[in-house]
Order: sequence, then C-alpha cells, then structure tokens
Amino acid sequence: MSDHLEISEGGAVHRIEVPIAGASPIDIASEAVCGLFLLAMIVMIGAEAIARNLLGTSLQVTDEVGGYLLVALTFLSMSVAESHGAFHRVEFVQMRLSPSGRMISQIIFELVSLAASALVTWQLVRLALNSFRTEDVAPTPLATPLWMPQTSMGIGMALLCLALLRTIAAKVRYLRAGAVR
Amino acid sequence: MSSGVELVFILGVFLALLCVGMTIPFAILVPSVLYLLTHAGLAGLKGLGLVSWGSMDSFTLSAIPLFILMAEILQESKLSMRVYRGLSTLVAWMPGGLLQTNIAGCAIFAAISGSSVVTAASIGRVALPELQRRNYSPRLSAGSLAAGGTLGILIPPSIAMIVYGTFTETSVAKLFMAGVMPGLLLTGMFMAYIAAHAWWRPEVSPVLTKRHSAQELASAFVDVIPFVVLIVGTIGSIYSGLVTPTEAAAVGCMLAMVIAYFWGEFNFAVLRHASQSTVRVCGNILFIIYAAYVFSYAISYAGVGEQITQFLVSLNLSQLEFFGALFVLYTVLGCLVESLGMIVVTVPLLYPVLLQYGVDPIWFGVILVLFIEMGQISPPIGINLFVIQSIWSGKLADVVMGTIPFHLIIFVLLGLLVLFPDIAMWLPGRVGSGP
Repeated sequence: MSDHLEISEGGAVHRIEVPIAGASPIDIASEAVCGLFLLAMIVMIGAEAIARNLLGTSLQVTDEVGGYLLVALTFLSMSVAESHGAFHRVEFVQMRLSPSGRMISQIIFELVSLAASALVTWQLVRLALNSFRTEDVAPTPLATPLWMPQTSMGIGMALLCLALLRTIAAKVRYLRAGAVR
Repeated sequence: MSSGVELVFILGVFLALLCVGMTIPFAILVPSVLYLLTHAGLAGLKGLGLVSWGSMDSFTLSAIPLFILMAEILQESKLSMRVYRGLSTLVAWMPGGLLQTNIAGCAIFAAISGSSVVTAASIGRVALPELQRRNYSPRLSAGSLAAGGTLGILIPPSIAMIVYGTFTETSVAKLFMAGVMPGLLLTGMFMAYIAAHAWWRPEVSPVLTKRHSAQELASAFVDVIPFVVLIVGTIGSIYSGLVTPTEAAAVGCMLAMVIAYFWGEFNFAVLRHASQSTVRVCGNILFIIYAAYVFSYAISYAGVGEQITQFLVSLNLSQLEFFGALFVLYTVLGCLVESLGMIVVTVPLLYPVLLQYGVDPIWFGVILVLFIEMGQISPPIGINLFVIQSIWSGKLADVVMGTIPFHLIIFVLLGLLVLFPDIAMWLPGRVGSGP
C-alpha cells in the first residue's frame, strides 16, 4: 500500500502521487477574478441584508447579480482547481496499479474528460451566441443582456479544456522522462 | 435499451469510473454526456446550455463559496488555535480531558464551517501534536477528531444541506435548523462516550490535576467568545428570519474579518490566501454540483427518473421497509462514493419516491447527512480518515479503529431520529418566516 498522503491546496486528499500542470498565467488571472467576485458577493449581499433590516429598503438586484457571480465563479474556478490537482478522486484501485499503469490510466481519464468538456464547451458557447443573436435579456429591472453572464460559462469551460490539456502534457512528460516504471 | 437497463448502464459507468480513479466531477459528467449521446446523438446535447444556465444561476448556491470563505478566513488567521486553547481550559476538566476538547472544538468549528474536511483539519492540526505529546490514546485521539470533524456537515451551516436543499427545492434555513438539535445531541453522545471510556479505561487519557485560576478561565472565555458571537450572528439571524442563509453567509464573512482582525492575525495576505483556497475548493464542489445537474438532466431526458419512481412505488414497501432499503443503499454507497457525489447522484432519483412514501424532505435531509457522516469515516474512502492520517504520525489502521465506536453512535442517533423525528423537526417549525 502506498505510504504517500497529502492534502492538495484545494483540499483534496491524495494517497498517490498525482503530477499536476501547475497554474498557468491564465489560471492565476482566473483565480484573481474569482477572488474579486467573492468579495463583490460579500459586499453586495451583505449590503442587501443590512439595507433591508436597518433601512427598510432593498437593492433589488442582489439575487440577480449574485446568481451571475456564482455562475462565473463556478466555471472560472474549474480550471484553477484542475491545475492545482484539487479535484477529489477515489484512489483505492489506483494505489494497486504499477506507477506506469497508474499514469497511463490517468492520461486516458484525462483524455475522456477532455472530450466530454469540449462537447459541453461547444454547447455553452452556442447558448451565449444564441442569446446574443436573439438579444435575450433578463426579465428583471436590470434587463441584463443574458449573453454577458452566459459568456463566463463558455470561457470557464474552455479554460478547463486547456487546463486538462496541460495536465495531460505534464503526465506524458512525466511518463517519458522515466520518472515512473 | 429499456429505461431500467439504461439507468443501470449510466450508474454502472459512473461507479466504474469513480472506482478506477477518475476525478469525481468528471466521473459524473462523462457518463451523463455519454448517455445523452447514446440516447439521441449530438441532438441530445442541445439542452445542455440551458440546463447549465438554469441550474447554476442560483442565489441559494451562492451561500456555498461564502461559507467556505468564512471558515478559511478564521483558519488562516489562526483563530482555530485560539478556540482550541480556550476550550482546553473550559472543557478539559471532564473525564477524557483534551479528547473532550476535540469534540467541543469540532462542534464549535462546525458551526462556522460547512465542511467536515475543514473542521477535522482545522482542529486536528492544533490538537494532534498536543495529544501525542501528552500520551493520549492514539486510537481515541485520531478517532475522536475524524468523527468530530463529521459534525461539520450536520451542525449548520452545512454545504451538504445547501446542496440537498437546492436539488429538492427545500428551505435551506429549515434544513439548517433541523440539523441543530441532532448536531448538539451527537456532540453530547460523543462526549459522553469519551467520558465513559476514560472512566472505564483511565489509561487512555492522562488525568489533568491542574486547577485553573480565575484569570486563566477569563482568558479562555475571551478565546471562545468571538466564535460564539459569529455563530449567534449567523445562525441566530437565519433562525429569527432576518436574513436568508446566503445573506447570513455574507454577513458571516464580514464578521469573520472583523473578528480575525481584532482576535487573530488578519491582513491582506491572509485574505488573499483565504480567497485562493476558497476558489480551489469551490472549483471542486461547484463542479460536482454542476455535473450532477447534467446527470439529473440526462436521466430525466428519456423519463428514466419517472419510471424509477413508479417502479419503487409499485413495490408497495412500508415506510419502515423503504427506510431500511435506503439504510442499506447509503451504507454501501458511503463506503464507495464521496459524500457530495452521494447526495447529488441519489437525491434527484430518490426525491420523488420520498414524497410518494410521505417522507418529510427536511427530516430526510438530516438523515441523509448522517449517512454521509458515516461514509466520511468508513474505509476504504472515508475522507476524514485520510485528513487525520495526513496530519499525524500514527497508522491509518488506528484512525479506522478509533472511529468505530463513533460510527456506532451515529447509528444510534439515526435510530433515535427514526423513532423520534421531532428531535430534528421541532426547531424548523419555529423558524421565522424570513425575507
């Protein structure tokens, strides 16, 4: 049984060694943007709670913008988590494989994940383009053009595809360098 | 392919991918996309855009990153160390000494953190070196921390409950309140077990003879009070109906920053690090939730979900038999599937059946969380076992053996909740109507 045990920066517990690509400049930028969105959520939602309870008024836009921020945070944080190896996985079968078998199986998983993510990206981009073409707006006082928040989904998923490609490249390099047998 | 076979296929692929080591969000997403493709070709994917938008454009789910950030701020500013120190003075006089502090510390940290992993890791990092230095029983030390950590998802705020509430359109505020009494009861049962064990076998914990001065007691209160203020501020405001859980999370983050500034170490670097950790954790959790929505869409695409409901209802099980079947299902799944994955994959399938059997969704939310708690300390994948193992020098076998009594205690609480549902349902009935 492997004696390797570590908690990744994203909280995932790994019992096997998992080579990661590390954060690219785009991932670092995504992480910073997500951090700003988090702070924006705190300020806006906190202000709504305070305004309603202390001033008896409402900002009217909190639910809507809060939802948009969550959508952006969800999709933009995926590539950050991938590049830091923060996704959880069940490792009791992986632990029993040889190091090279483990690496090859992980590359195959990553390729399958990439194919699924690419298909989802295609659909998310289609949605934003359709909203843009049809000039869909939110049925709210802000009347936000929906393509704007929806674009963050396509961008986030595309960045996840890039992060997966970088992870695959890192694992192939690891395998070729003879670091595992 | 018939609907039943299709469902077995999709669940089989999910479990197979999960077991062989695909990362959890992809183990849910890949079979869902595969199912849509096999069922309707590329045309089956056309609804994915709207499903993605409709599911994740959610104000309720916004509470998840905010509650995670609140706990990260407190952890990064070293406040978990302070609360442990304060509790070790206030609670350690009880039989079991610092082992009692583990449970009390986990319960208090659980009330500001929605995650078992964060709770176990925060208290474990502070407690384990001290417990090892003072020669406490390694098994009981590790077991109490792994099990105590599970309180993180039962005592509100709870990420598991937010996810369950979102998928079932159940009031998250009421779910939170439903977790309070069982959470306190479980904390009491854990502490009672430790006291009884220490009384029966005194060698598991050294006897603490030191008496604390009034000044030390006052200092201990000062260490614990910020957490009490934060807990009362967030949970109390939800209970009184002043704010929604999402607003409570935002206000909690603000309070956490103020508390960290005055009681801990808080500066821009701490905030940046807490926000980075939050983004990485969210990338995982929110992706699992998103993948589960795609999974839910895939199984509803051909009406498989409805047929499963009809099949389970046609079995004409009594409510107790149905509950027994769920008990077996979740006990087995808890050993194989990660906690959040367990909720998001099973709840969309089972929720309509629950309603047919007249099971209260709030009560079931608490039961589900208890099942997940057990899963988190069940080998081979119980995550809390590995969290504790990763921060101490003992054996994994000791952590596993140490959690067994706590496992049994959770079983007892499950039985109590079945016999006396009011343990969970009393408080939600008194929640304010809310904004």
